[in-house]
Amino acid sequence: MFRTFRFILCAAACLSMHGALAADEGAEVVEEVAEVAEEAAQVADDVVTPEPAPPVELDREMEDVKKALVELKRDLVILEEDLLFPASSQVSVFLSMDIGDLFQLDAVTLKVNGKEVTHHLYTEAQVDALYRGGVQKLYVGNVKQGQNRVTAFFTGKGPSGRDYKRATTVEFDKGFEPTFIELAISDETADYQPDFAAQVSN
Amino acid sequence: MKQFFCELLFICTVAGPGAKPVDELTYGTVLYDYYQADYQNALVNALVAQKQGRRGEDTIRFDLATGSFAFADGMYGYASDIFAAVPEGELTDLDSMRLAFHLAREFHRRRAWDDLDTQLARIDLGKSWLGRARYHPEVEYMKGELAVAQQNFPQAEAFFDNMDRTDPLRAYGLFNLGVAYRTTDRINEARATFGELADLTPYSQEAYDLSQRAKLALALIARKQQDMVSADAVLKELPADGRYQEVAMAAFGGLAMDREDYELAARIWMTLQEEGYWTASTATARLGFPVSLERLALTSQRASSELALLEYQRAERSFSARLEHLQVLERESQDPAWVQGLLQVFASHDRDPEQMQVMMEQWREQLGHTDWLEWLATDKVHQGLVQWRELNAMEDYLGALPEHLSSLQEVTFEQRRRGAEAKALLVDDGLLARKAELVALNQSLAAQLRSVATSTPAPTRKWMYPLATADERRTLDDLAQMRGMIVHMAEHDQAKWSGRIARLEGVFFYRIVAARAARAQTLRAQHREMQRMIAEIEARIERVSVAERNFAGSVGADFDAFTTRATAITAQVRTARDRRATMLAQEIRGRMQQEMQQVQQYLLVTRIAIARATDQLAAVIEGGG
Repeated sequence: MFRTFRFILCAAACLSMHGALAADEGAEVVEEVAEVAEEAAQVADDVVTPEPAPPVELDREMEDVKKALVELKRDLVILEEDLLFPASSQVSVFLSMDIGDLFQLDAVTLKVNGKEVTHHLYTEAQVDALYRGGVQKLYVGNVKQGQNRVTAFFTGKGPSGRDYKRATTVEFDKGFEPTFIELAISDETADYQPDFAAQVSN
Repeated sequence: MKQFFCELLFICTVAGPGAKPVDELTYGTVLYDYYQADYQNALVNALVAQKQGRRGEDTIRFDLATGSFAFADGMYGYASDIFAAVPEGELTDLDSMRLAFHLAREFHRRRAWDDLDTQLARIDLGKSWLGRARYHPEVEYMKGELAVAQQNFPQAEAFFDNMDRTDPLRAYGLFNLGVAYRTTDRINEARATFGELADLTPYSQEAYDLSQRAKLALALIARKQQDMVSADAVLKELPADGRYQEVAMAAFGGLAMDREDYELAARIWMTLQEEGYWTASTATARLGFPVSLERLALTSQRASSELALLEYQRAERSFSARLEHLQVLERESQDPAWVQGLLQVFASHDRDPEQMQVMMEQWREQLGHTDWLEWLATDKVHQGLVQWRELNAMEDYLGALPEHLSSLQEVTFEQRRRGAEAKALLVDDGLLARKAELVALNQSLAAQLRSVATSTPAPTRKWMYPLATADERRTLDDLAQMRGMIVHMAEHDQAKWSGRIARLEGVFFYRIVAARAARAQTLRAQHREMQRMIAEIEARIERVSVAERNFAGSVGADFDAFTTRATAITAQVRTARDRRATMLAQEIRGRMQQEMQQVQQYLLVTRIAIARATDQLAAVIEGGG
């Protein structure tokens, strides 16, 4: 583009100096147009990056704002947990998956003391996150002290792609400390069936 | 393989027999967010776990993951701070590699090649049990990029070859390698590299885009090498509706002019200039068309100088009108409200598509530039827009916060009320007093049981009373009272009544002795029942006390402090957003001025050409006359 500009300046200067154009300037225009066309395709010469770096100053300002917000969110999460789910009644249910070749998870329904408290339909991304070692915090709620029962119903596709529905239950004695329950889906290689377990974590 | 990648990046949660420890579950939940690209949530939850002391035993692993989440969320400085705080001395070999990996990503982002080199040298993934070298795609990509920067091209090719052919990063690496070959005049290598990319089956939108760009680059290289046939063939391969179709057409027009095929050039420029919008390519076409006609008139009879002049004049009108329009737009763009209106197009990606379409149409009409989004397609503007959108989302979140805080405060009020209720239950309703009574009663019962078990039966009130039934106790009480009253009687009456009372007590004594075992058993059962009741009351008191303590604890939450913080952050967000709006407005104006400059240049060249063509025509007429 700069070459075009230089040429135009030169052409304008020639016009003002001589009042008329040299005969071969038409050819230069042709060449110039061709070059402009090439330079329009500059896009082919730019280095590409999956995540280009933004200007440093704006970057820093953005970070300051984000950091303040993230810290506010952190404190709010803690406040909410303390307020809404006091340790003496809190129960959290987690879902993990190990290997997961024998069971393709579609949904989980959770009942606490016979009452349905959550039903979760899984997206492909969520199943993938579980498969890669992520653990889902499926439910957090409050239960009475003493004996309680949590039942999880898993639906999906089992071995050979057939519809598969299984349930698992855990009973626990709620004390004054928060209770954590892990629902684990794993592959039972002995009988080539998925295994579903629910256990109180410590 | 999955486990291996997990290990390099974060280490997945370890599956083993029995339930995982709570900290391990917590770590898994932050990974769950991260794997779904919800980086900020992953970071927030990691910070929550950190504050709650749930980082687990492997705190280094947790901190490295936290830094990585910050990095992924675009908080590069924060990530660097987290990584810098990791004590080097406590790192295992694997931790060191993980840290090196995260730092390498940061240095790659900054294009700090020497630092990247240092970090990459610390990553040694070893070999598999089959003796094959292990590769991580992102590591190979970074190594390849480094080799390109160091102009060690064969090495770069080797690194990119280690990657899966459909890895998204490989296309970026190959393209940059092609560019590096071209800029260092290794044209044949550039051609081969772009060729490989152009031949790739597009496995993603990004790869498709890069493959189109590679084709364009191939055409330009071929043109530079005077290999017009190849250039022509490559350009023809570009799809008619692709992103680079218009640029390709301009390049095609230029190619035709290079080959002095002015007829083809004229046809291409004519097609391109008929597009109703303005870009560098269509503007070039407006000038290129009359130039081609003029050249054609000189070399053949298929066009005339008059027609070329007419087209030059048409181009002049077109450039003038565009310039005028841009000047109006440029004046309008000084108004912040105008800029805000334009940015609203980008305010929310989840806006109703129909509404969005209407808005875009309005702007398209106003800007008169079908391809006007290209103005905003530079990296700087793109990043500014992304940040501007993020800041808008933050403002929305902060805007909803007062209501949320208010509902939480309601909860604390309710809890305070329940706390007071619990306290009343304990004190005012005498739960504690009742417990004390029961405990005293039970202690007395226990003493009586001990006494019954250890003492020899005797017709005394002390021995009989604990085992007596309620009726018997009343009678025994009456008899004791009578014994107290007979002292006021005459002496012979006293002896008579005393004897009768003794006989009655004797009757009770023998009856109690006979039923002693059964009654002692009943007594013990009562004692046990009493103990159970006391335990129940104690448990209830404990629950009420804990609840009271919990409720009382929550009252301490300082909502005013939260509100103050939120207000301060909102002000920060608004300032940052306004700065981006200003930056974007400047960029838009800059782009307009750039286009104005270009149009002015074309206008000038067109006017020079008109003057020349007019002179030539006049000369011809004069010569002919």
